[in-house]
Amino acid sequence: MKHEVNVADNEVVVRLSEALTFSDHGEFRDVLKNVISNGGKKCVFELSQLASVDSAGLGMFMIANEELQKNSWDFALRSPRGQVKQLLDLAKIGDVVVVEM
Amino acid sequence: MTASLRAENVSASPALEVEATHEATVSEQHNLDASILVVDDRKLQRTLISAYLRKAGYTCVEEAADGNEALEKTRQIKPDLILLDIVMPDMDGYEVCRKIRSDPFLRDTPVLFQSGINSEEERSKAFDVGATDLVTKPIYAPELIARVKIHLENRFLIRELSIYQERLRYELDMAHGMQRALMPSQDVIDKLSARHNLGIAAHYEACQELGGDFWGLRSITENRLGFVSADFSGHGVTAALNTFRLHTLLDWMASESIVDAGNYLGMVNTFFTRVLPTGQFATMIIGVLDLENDRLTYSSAAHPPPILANDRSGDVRYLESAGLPVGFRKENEYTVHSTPFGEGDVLFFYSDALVETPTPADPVFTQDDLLRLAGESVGHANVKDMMESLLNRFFVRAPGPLPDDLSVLCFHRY
Repeated sequence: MKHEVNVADNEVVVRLSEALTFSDHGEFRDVLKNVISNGGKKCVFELSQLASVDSAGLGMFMIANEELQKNSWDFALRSPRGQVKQLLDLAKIGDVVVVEM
Repeated sequence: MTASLRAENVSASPALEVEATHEATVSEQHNLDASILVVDDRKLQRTLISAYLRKAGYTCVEEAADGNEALEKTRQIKPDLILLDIVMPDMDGYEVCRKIRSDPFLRDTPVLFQSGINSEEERSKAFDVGATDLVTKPIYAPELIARVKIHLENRFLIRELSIYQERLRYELDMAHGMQRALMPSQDVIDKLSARHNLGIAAHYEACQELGGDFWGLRSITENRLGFVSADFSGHGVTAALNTFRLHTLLDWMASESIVDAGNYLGMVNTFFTRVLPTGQFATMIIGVLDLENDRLTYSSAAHPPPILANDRSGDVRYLESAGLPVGFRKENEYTVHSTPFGEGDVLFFYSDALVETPTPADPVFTQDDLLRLAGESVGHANVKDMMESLLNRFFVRAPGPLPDDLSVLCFHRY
């Protein structure tokens, strides 16, 4: 997993690329911790460049959702493509997390 | 050589002053019980080194006066460390070391060469034949004791690690067996197949670690067979323990309640949402094959889409399986799907390893490949051959260890 963080108008955009898998768990947690500690209102995980996600990655989105909500943030997943979109659709993730197309 | 007791090779006994200056810890005491073999053709040198070692607290010190005796005693007492002279008559230290390294029972023994030879070529020859370390003559006792101590510590550390790994491997094998026993045996499959006049084949293959796949069958009446296929996120001990939880829960739930697949999956979800931490979840598909009314009824929690094919018409298609994974939200309602399941129909359920090996981004089987190959496989005469033909094509493309558990469950209406 690679990531890039941009902040604009109280919205923190974390752009993920390559693949999000079990081995990225530690780095993902660190990214999340940094986002929360820097403050803001809304966090978006931008997924257009993310090639794939496995079941552990799906779990990480759920952890992000819970952690951010606990800290009164809004959370959204944005622009999933290909395999990532297929997996999010299969898991009906839109029922529990905002997915912006 | 034996007669030339060169005094210059023996330092002025500082080691005889080596005292146990502190209380020995448990591990140090363990090391002091180690057996050490001192090999030297000169008696004075052997006696002196042995005295250094005993003075430092080592109680099991044996001596050998030449290469042959060294090998004999090594095989006999299996020492924890050998202090080996290089220049000896008949068989020199290099040859002794070579023989020790070629013996599978002795090859891990630390061998410390002690020699007055200081040429770089000779030193590198010592390491070429398998020396663990070198102690140069004249022997400086504190250095000798420090080297012996560190190599014994390494020796015992490696031994403990090997024992630990061995135990872990044994326990992992046991756990694999226990997990496999959660799922129906071939004998049970054959009986259910005969009772329901239905072809049933299953394949379960755990990855190297423990995994989170599970499948099960419930015979409700002669005409109705319930099934469950599940895959807990991640793999390893956590995922495996969750399969045991699921097995226990399903045993506890009334078999006939599976007829209401949506409600049944909802109850399973409620339980797991309560016990699983955020981030852990399962994909699952639960349903019933109604053989009297030729229907398949099921509910799915994000399990990979099943494939329905027909061995006569050649039709093949994916079935709908979207749904919130088990453990994401309590009190979730699951859609109940119903589709005809009649003569010649073949149904495939599988875990995501089939379409995510070696990685989800670049699998050996895409969903399109899988659909096409499943369609081709139903040309075989029986359900076992159908599943095997599909799996053979998978394993040709994905040799080597699987990154995740693989389970496939297949039903065929004759």
